[in-house]
Order: sequence, then structure tokens, then C-alpha cells
Amino acid sequence: MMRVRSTSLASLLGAAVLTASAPAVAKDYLLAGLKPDKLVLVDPEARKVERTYTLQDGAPGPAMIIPSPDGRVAYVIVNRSEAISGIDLDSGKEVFRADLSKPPERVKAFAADISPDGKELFVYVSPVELASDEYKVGDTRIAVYRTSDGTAAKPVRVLPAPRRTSLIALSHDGSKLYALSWDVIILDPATGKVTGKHEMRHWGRAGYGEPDVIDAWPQWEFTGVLVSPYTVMRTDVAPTDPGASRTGLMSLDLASGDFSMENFEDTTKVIFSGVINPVRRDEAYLVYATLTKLDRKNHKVLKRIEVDHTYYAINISSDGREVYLGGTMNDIGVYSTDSLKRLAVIPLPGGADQGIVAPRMIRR
Amino acid sequence: MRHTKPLNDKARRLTGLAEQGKLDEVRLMQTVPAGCAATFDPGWEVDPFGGVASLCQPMEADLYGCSDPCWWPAQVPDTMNTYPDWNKGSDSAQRDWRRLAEVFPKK
Repeated sequence: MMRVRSTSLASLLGAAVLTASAPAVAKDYLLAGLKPDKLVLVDPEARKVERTYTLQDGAPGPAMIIPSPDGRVAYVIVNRSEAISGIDLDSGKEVFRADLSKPPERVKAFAADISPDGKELFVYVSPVELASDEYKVGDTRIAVYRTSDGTAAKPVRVLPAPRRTSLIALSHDGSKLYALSWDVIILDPATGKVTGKHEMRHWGRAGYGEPDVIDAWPQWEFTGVLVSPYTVMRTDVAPTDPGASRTGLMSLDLASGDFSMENFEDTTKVIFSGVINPVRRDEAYLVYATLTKLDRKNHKVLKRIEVDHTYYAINISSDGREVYLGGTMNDIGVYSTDSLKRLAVIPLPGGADQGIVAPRMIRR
Repeated sequence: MRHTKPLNDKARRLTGLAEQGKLDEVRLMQTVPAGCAATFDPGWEVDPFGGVASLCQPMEADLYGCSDPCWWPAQVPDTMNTYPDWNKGSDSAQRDWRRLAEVFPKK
């Protein structure tokens, strides 16, 4: 995985890879999760599954995959979201594990991200104490682990964190930790201190209600931009007006910190997730039961097609030519970013569903 | 109401209060809030537009995305905590949905 921040993405990717200890010709790979306990390495160019890994206590299925920046290790939320397991993609061995629950406290992880240097793993967790006759809901928090701490890792520090967080992301320089909640809360990754906020639900725009965001699908490996669709009701027209609900795209640039929310159409389609193009950065692609190509600059839908079945999540090749539709069912749909034509379908082993887990990209 | 027969408590209450002229006291879900983050949206019955065309396609494709992360705990058995084995051995919802059983709270 490369965190790339300029417009000359392809050249930067190539240069970065050549200076690392990676093979001379680096390629894109896709990581997918499958029920009940599988992690799959896909070669998108060859349209085939390269390798399948079995995750210890994986059931009911991987919840989120977090690739290391060098593309060597995949950290996966497993065991009913009560553990995070790091799999060495070369040896197939578990090289990191953190079991989160410790009786009487049951702890579930919902989001995680890794520091740009690959040394720290940030895991957003929600704890509850299972008392003899009651549940005591604890404060949500972010547990920080050293990735070098092996298979019995304990947090090196614990940060307070906002409730309702569904994604967390480190800035490119590692100085900010973004938590996507009702608003985007900016935290100091060292202390957890709130240092800023980008308002989403509380944007306060005249004539609008509160934007509604659902996003549990990270996709910024090759783009450095976290994007999320949202819907919002207008308050200055009748609720029965066809234009009463608007759909928009939130963008958070993890390099510059730039944040925007722009409506682009009346709500006519359900959209779960999106990704921008790492090369033609004014383009974004959005998915659910349709695939949409969006002009981010002019806030216009350029093209929309129906897809074979619902995909919750989307990712993109480092050259920006193909998007990979994943999550939900049991294949990866490959589509052209130019034409939105379906180029291939890559079936995943055993026909097992991916469920909520999003495909992630690495380059190695 | 002469040609319809109430089948559940809500419908029976509607029928009774309609006869008393208190129809406004019965709240039926007639529309759905836009978006998906409100966990108690129906979700599985109608889409945000009050139809079915924008539900997950096919509908069963949405099952495990909802049960495993406990996203729709009122509509789909929660495999995270309460019914951990509900979809065990049935890894493809589209292929295996017939094997999925109903669940009932333990007494």
C-alpha cells in the first residue's frame, strides 16, 4: 500500500516502490475477506486469486482489512470483532494478534488504521462490561498497538474517542487521527486530544437538515482521499418534493487536510461507498446496486450503470484505469473507469460472501 | 375495513381505534427517513423511496452484511453476540439462505 499525495500518482508509485526492497516490478494486488475465516490475495491484472489465507478464529467473517504501508502484512478484524490478526502475506503466518476482550469486559472493534510508518495500529473499540445482571456500556476508545509486539499484543496507549465512529484514518504525516463519526473529529494520535472538527451532521447550512452518513468501507490506499456519500433533506421545500432529499460526496484529503461536502444530485439511488481516481482526481466512482461516475469538480453525474448485484464497497487500481467492486457477495467486479464497462468478474473461493468487509489495495 | 382482517396487534389496534374515531393515535410507518444510519429504519421491507427497487440486489445479498456486524439487530439475527452460529456453514447467503433458521429469544 502506498499513501500517495500528488497528482503524478503513477510515477510516484513507481519511484517509491523501486527505492524500497520490493521486487523490481511492483504490481497492484487486492485483498478481500470471505466468510467465515478467509483472507484472499487477488491479482487483479491476471483476474485471478493468487492465495488464500485462513484466519484463526475468523468467524463469522473478517470485518475490516488494514494493509501495512509496505504491503507485507494484512491486519484483519476477526473473531466477532473481538480480535485483530496480522497475517504475513508471504509466509501466511499470523505475526500479530491482539485479543480485545478481557472478562468481564467485552470489547468490539469497528474500525482501524495503521500509522504511515507501519509501526502503530490504531483500533477503535466499543467496550461493555457484562455484569451479573446488567450490561454497563463503557466509553468508546482507540487502542494503540505496536505492530512489532507479536501475537499477544497489548495496547501501548489508549485514547478517548467519539461514539458512532465507523472509520478512522491517519493523516499522511501521521500527525492527525481522523474519526468519522457524526462529524469528522480530529484527534492527536499521541494523546487523543481533540484538535479540530469538520462538521458533517452539524454543518448548519440554511435550508438543509442534518446529513446522514453511512460508511464502513476504507478505500484511500492509492488516492490519499477518504470519500463518503451522504444524503440530506432540504427543509425549504415540501418533503414530498422530488428534490427534497439530496445526495452528496464528502471528501477528506489525508495529505492536505482539505475537507468538502458537495451535493451532486437529488436522491434517486442508494449509494454506500465511493473512491476517487488517483490520476484523474476530479473523478469519483460510487457504488451499491449501481456504479456511478462523478465529476467532483462540477458536482455532476457523468454516467451511471446497473451492476450485476449489490456491492457495498469499491476500490481502484493505482493507474486509475479500473475500479474493483467488492464486499457483499462472492466476487470482485472489475469495471473500466473510462466507460464503466464491465471488464471481468473474479470469483472468490468457495462462493462465500464477503459481507461488510471492503477490498483493500496493496502494491508490492 | 369490512374487507380486511387484522393479522397482528398493530392492525387490531388500528381497527379498534378507527371505530372510536381515534385513528390519529396509531402511528403507522408510512415513509422512511433518507439514509441508512438510523438503525431502526425498516430497511428490509422497503427502500428509502418507499419501494423495493433500491433494496440490496438480490435482497439476500444483504443478509450477512447486516447480521455479522450487528447492523440491523431488529431485522436480522445478530451473529456478533446473540446467535453466533446462525449462519455457520452457510457462507453464501444467495446459495444457502434456505438453510437459515428463524431464531427465538431463549426463555
